[in-house]
Amino acid sequence: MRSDVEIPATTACRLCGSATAEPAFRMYDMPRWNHRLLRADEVAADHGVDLVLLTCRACGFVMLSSGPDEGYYDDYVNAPSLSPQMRAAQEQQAAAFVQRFGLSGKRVLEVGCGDGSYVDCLRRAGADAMGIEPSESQREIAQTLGLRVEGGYLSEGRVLAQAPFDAFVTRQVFEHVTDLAGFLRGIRVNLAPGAVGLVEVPNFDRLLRDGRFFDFIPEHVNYFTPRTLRVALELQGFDVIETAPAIDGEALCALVSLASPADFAPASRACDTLAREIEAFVAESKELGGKVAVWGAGGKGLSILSGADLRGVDYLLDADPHKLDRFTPVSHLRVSHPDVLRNAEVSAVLITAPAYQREIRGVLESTYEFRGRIALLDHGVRVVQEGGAS
Amino acid sequence: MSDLACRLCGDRPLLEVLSLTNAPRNVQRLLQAHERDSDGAISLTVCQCGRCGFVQLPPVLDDEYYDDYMMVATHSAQMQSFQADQARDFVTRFGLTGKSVVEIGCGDGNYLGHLADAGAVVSGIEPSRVTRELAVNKGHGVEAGYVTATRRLQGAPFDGFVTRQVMEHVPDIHDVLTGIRRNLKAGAVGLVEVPSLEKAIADRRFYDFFSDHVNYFSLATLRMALEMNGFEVLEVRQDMFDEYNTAIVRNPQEVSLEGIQRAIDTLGRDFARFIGEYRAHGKKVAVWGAGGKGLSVLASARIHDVDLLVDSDCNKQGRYTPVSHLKVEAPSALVGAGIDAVIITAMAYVHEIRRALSDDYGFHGVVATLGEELVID
Repeated sequence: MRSDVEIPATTACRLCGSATAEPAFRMYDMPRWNHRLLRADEVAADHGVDLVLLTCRACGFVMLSSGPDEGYYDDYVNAPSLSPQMRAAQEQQAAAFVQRFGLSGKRVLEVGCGDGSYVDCLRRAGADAMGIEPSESQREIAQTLGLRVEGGYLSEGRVLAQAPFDAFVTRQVFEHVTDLAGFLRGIRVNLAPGAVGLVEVPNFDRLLRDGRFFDFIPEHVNYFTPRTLRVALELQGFDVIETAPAIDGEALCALVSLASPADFAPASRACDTLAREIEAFVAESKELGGKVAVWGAGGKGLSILSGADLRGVDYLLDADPHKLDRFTPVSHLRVSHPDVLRNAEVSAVLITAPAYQREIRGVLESTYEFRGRIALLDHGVRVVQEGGAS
Repeated sequence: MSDLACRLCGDRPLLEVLSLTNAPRNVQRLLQAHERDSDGAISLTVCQCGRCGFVQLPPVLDDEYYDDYMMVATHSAQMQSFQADQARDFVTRFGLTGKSVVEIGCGDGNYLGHLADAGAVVSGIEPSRVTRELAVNKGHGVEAGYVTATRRLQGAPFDGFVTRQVMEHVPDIHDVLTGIRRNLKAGAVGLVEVPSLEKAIADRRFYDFFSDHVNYFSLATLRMALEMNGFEVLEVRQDMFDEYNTAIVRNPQEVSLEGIQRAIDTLGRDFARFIGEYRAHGKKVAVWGAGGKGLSVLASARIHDVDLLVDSDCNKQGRYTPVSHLKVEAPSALVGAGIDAVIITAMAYVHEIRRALSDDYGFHGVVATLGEELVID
């Protein structure tokens, strides 16, 4: 029997958002879910579904178009009795995470902590760890172990009483999540600035390599490679420190930190101070006698000059022949070839082409044997050669 | 807050992080004498995405802006030397001698010359008529216009691409990067160079923000832009006295699901055959494992009928499997059930289960285990 689910030719990619996810592979008549078996009274209404794997033409993300119905995870039970080997691997991973980021005594949240076994590992490693878990039966197991576990989901805007956390862990959860952005945003609002995180998912590369078709299960709606896991995290403002195989290559693990946004305040202040410094340099140089030139009519140079009062500037120099004898926008200075330095009595030059300032200084010295004052831009106007060295 | 959406991740609103009140409208085309009267300053507002951190300017340029764009660097010896080294390193590192390399936004063709000198077979695309003519006069094959997601370039697919000081000008980042990737062979490599946001921030360079540059990439957002469009990023680095952020990328091979299909066909067939043959001879077969993997294998092999299904998880016992509707029993049901063969589908617990079979349940019949293939003792 085939349950021919209609899949549109293209679907919106859960990762990059472009409408270019296309069906790549189909497994017919599969379970609607794999981790909750049926009660006798549910058997009659049960039916199979096709698992349709989509790949995004734009970003390459691999996903199922949809997961189990809403509420499925409210009574989810996936508590494999941990083999000693698995338990040891988890303890080692938790200890390494706590140690690497100095999380001993710090608040750590595990999102989707199940029965709390990993929260326990984190606590043993010295962290002040707690969890959040939607499944009541799992949560009860964790609470019986004396662990602190909140119920429900970190839906948008929900800030836990214990927030902000210094770190988070989410293991074997992200592959179940249909709203990648919302899930990570929910975590992010609960974090302190500079917080770190560990995100572990099944290793799709391993699945592919070993032909493990049975690892395509309806609960796993996302299949991450190191690249797509990284993108998912970076898109929500996390810096990815590394991605690496974990748990004997069965899992893929990303370590992240919450990126601090670039600080534009110093640039904003420089906007005023640099114009004043340029004006001061021009005025001072005039007082010392001779003419004043500015070198650089490129994009940056023009931006710099636009904000300053340049009435004292005698020449604007640029070596680009296409700019010669044209006028700058806003400041309306006429561009001259640097050769004017040979004849004009220029006693001071301000270099406003940051990428070329070393080269221009060299040309001033060697080509034009310029011995006057030279200033360049280095966190403000910096005079690198005083005049009069003739 | 700005109504603009983030060009990289689509989020809105954006944060306004830097306001420039006295900026030139156009920094590349200088004015002729008679144009001065109508010229005036504009205001620019630099915006940052609160979610992904990308920094951008709202567009202020006309659509035709790049039709006669003129920005060349041939007059700088320092730049020529840097470019020649960069082109040679790129060609050498990836064995591109004799291979096709396209430059997106090749300007006057100066860099095509460096790539050709290094041994690559070059071509370019350039929207500016004036610089394109300069490139053509140097003997390079250069087509007009812009790369888009749907445009096929002459000479495609290429073995490599270079795009330098271009992506910061591009209003639709994804369209261009997708377009580039679709013109490449699988495994092709690329070099993407943009001005460095880190340098602008570190040196407090408000003057690095001007109307031509609508995008300001950090190493992180450059990487993200490329990875979002399917490129594998081999390296990102700051270059040229930290002025530039450079990414080296590869167009990865497409994910192949052929091995998966083969595994389903082979394993499913072996599994069904094993059960079928036993039962045809009046023998009884049990399956141990009603976990996720076990259910997938049963469903994909269309196994709807076995003599016994057991699992040691008490949460599962007494329940039924989806699709096949087999009742899950406790392993103790094996005792006295007259089972001739057991197939273990709980791959992670094979050793434990084998021991339990012989020690706890006195089972000494045939044991088969499911892994990448069906292994029969």
